[in-house]
Amino acid sequence: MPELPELDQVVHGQLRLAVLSILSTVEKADFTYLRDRTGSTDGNIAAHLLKLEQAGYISVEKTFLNRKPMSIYRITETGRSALSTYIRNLKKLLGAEFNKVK
Amino acid sequence: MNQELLDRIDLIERMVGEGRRTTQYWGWTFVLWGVGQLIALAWSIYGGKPQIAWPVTMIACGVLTTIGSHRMHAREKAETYVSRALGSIWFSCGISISVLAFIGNARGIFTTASFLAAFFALMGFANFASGLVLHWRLQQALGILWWAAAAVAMLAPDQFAAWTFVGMDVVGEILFGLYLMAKERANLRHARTA
Repeated sequence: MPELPELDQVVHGQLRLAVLSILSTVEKADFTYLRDRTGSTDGNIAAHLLKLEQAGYISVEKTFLNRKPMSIYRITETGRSALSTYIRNLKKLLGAEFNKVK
Repeated sequence: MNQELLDRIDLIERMVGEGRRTTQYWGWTFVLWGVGQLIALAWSIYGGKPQIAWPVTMIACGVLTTIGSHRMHAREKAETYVSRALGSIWFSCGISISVLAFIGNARGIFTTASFLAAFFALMGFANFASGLVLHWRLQQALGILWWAAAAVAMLAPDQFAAWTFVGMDVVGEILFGLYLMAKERANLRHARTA
């Protein structure tokens, strides 16, 4: 029987997965956009963004717009590859579960 | 476990959909250029100094479009691949039309019909390509309509080409732009209440 793949726990977190999924479809997004699209709060999303940044899955650029600080986020190549691997493993796990039911 | 994994797949699909939802609204540009062209046409027929009618109105439309799009970019919280693709198509189309209009017409290498045929074909290209990017049949159909107008401009007498221009300006730019603006307003309302 083939061994079941393990899911990357950094990607698996609901909010972190939501952020990575959004960033995989846009070139860049600012903090408020990510907060609003995920329906999260400032404190909650900030903690998860930091975790993704520490894992090297996203990069952040601090800038100013009309003298207000702004954080722009982008997915990195490592992050994109981690998300692809996560989705592949998710499908494998679901496939194995479905086979078990059959 | 199975349900949790299925929930994750659902979450990925929903968030990818959120990311693809464009935050830019371009209906106003269709209306602006459509009205601008009608003003230029009326000015060149009935107004004074008809030789400056088209350059002045088209440059004014270009300036207003640049200001409007800069303001929209400044407000935008994310840049999507879709908005970049659409922007690239229309910017390239605008430059092509400007080159033909300003240099070609100044050198007098076009007849009315041949210039309109090139203009209609470029509008067909930009609308059809945008329709393909957005998976939007209506804009693809509009692209085909512009291409049909290009064929008419090449096959029919010159006078008919000018009337085709008026018809396409009203249908393909002003009415389509107004429809797009109404659709964008409805989408915005939906996004606010979602």
